[in-house]
Amino acid sequence: MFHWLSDSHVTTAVTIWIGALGTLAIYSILYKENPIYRIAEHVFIGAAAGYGIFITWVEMLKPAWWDQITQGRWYWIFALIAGAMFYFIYSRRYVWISRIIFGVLLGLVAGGAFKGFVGVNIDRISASFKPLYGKGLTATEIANNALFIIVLLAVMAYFFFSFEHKSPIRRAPAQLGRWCLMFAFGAMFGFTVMARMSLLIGRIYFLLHNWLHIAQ
Amino acid sequence: MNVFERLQYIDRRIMYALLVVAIAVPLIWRINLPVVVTPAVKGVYDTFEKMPNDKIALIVVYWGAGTVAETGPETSAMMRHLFMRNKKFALLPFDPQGSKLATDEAKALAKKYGKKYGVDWVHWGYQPISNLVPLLQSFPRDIKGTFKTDAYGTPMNKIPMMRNVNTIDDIGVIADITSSGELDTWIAYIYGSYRTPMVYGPTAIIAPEGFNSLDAGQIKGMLMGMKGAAEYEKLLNAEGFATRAAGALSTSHLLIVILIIAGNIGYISSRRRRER
Repeated sequence: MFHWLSDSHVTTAVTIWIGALGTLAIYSILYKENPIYRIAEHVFIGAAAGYGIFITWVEMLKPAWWDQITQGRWYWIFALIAGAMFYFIYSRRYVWISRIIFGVLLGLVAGGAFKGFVGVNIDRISASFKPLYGKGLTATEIANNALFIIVLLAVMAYFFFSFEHKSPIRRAPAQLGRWCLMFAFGAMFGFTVMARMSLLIGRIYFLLHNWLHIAQ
Repeated sequence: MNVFERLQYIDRRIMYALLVVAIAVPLIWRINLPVVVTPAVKGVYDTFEKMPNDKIALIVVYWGAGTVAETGPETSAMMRHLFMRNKKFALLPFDPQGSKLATDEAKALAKKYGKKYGVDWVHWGYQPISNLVPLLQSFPRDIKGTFKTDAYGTPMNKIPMMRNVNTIDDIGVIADITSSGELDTWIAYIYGSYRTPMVYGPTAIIAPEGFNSLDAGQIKGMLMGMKGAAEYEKLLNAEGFATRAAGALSTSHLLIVILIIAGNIGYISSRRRRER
C-alpha cells in the first residue's frame, strides 16, 4: 500500500514541496507577524536540533566513545564523568566539583589563547612593515605600500587616547584615521549586504528552479 | 507631502516585492554581466593547482543550511577543481548539516567526474566544533590515530587513498570553508606551527576579517561568498549556481542603491521644506 513512499522521485518531490512551503512560511514574516511563520520557525529549529543530536551520536559519540567502552576500553567512562562534572554548577552544595573541571578547561583555553596570539599576530605585525624602496619594487607597489603605512599610522593615531587631540599636528592624523575607519566600516557593511542578498538569492533560486522549474 | 518627500516613506513590503522581482528576473532570463577574477580568488585556484598529486587537500566544512547559498558553491567549486585535476581530498565537517550537504555534493560531483569514494575522496566524519582545539593539536602528528574510522565506520587503514596519509606533511592544502570566525584558530595551531598552505572560503559577511591573514600571507587566497564562488567557476570554466546568481546579485545591489538614493532625495526635500 505504501510502496510509493520508497520511490525516490516521490520522496524528492515531497522534500521539495516541504522546503518550498517552509521557505514561503518563513518569508511571510516580511508581510507581518503571523502564526504560520511561528510554526515554521519552531519546526525548523526543532528539526535542526534533532538532526544535530542524531548526527552527534551516530558520527561522533558512538564510534569515538560508546564503541570504545563496549569493546573493552572501559577507561573511556572517565570522559562521561568529566563531562558530567560540569552539571554540578547547578548544585549549591556540590558546585566545587564543577570548579575542578572548569579550572582545567580554562587553563587549557588560556594556554591555547597565548599560543594563538603569538601564532596569529606575529605574522600580521611583520607584514605591516612594508618596504618603500628596494630592488624590483614598481611605482605602483611603492604607492600602495606608502598608502598602507599612512592609513595604519593614522588609524593608530585615532586610537591613541593618552593625551587630548588638541593641536593640529595630533588632531589631523586622528581625523584622517577616523575617515579611514569609516570607509573600512562602509566596505564591511557592503559585504554584509552582499551576504544577505546571496542568501535570499539562494532561496529564490530554490523556489524558481527546484520547485516551479521556471529558472534554469 | 510632495512626490519627492514620499520617497522616504515607501512601504517596506513594496521594497521587498521589488527586491524579489530584481532577483527573480535575472534567474529566469539570464543576464550575462562580466565576472572579474580578483587576486584573492586566483590565489585559491593557484594553491590547488600547485598542490603535489601525492598529497591530499583537506576541506573543512563549518557551515549549515542557513548559509548554503554562499558556502555551498564555494565548497562545490573547490571539490570540482580537485576532481578535474585528479587530486584527492578529505572532508572534515564541523557542522552536522554541512556534513550532509557537502557529502551529497561530493557524491554528485564524484559521479559526474567518475571518481570513487575512498580512492579519490574520503569523509573523515563529523566532529563537534567544541573539539576543534584538541583535534588541531592531535591530528597533525597522527591522522589515523585521531580519526580512527571514516564517517561510515571503515578503519582509516583500509581506505586506499589514506594508505600513505599519516601526518600533516601529507596534506597539501587546507581549505577552511566557514560561516563562522574560527580561521584564527586554524592559523594559530596549523599554519603557525606547520606552515601548511591554507585557503579560506568564508561567507561575505565575515570575509573582511580574512584580509589581514591574506595580506600577511597566512592564507594564500580567499573566496568572498557567492561572488568569490562565481569568480572561481569562471577560472574553472565550469558554470554553476554562483555564475547564474551573479546577475541577480548585481540587480539586487542596483535596486538597493536606487532605494538609498530615493530615500535621501526624500529626506533632503523634506528638510528644505522645513527650513522654508
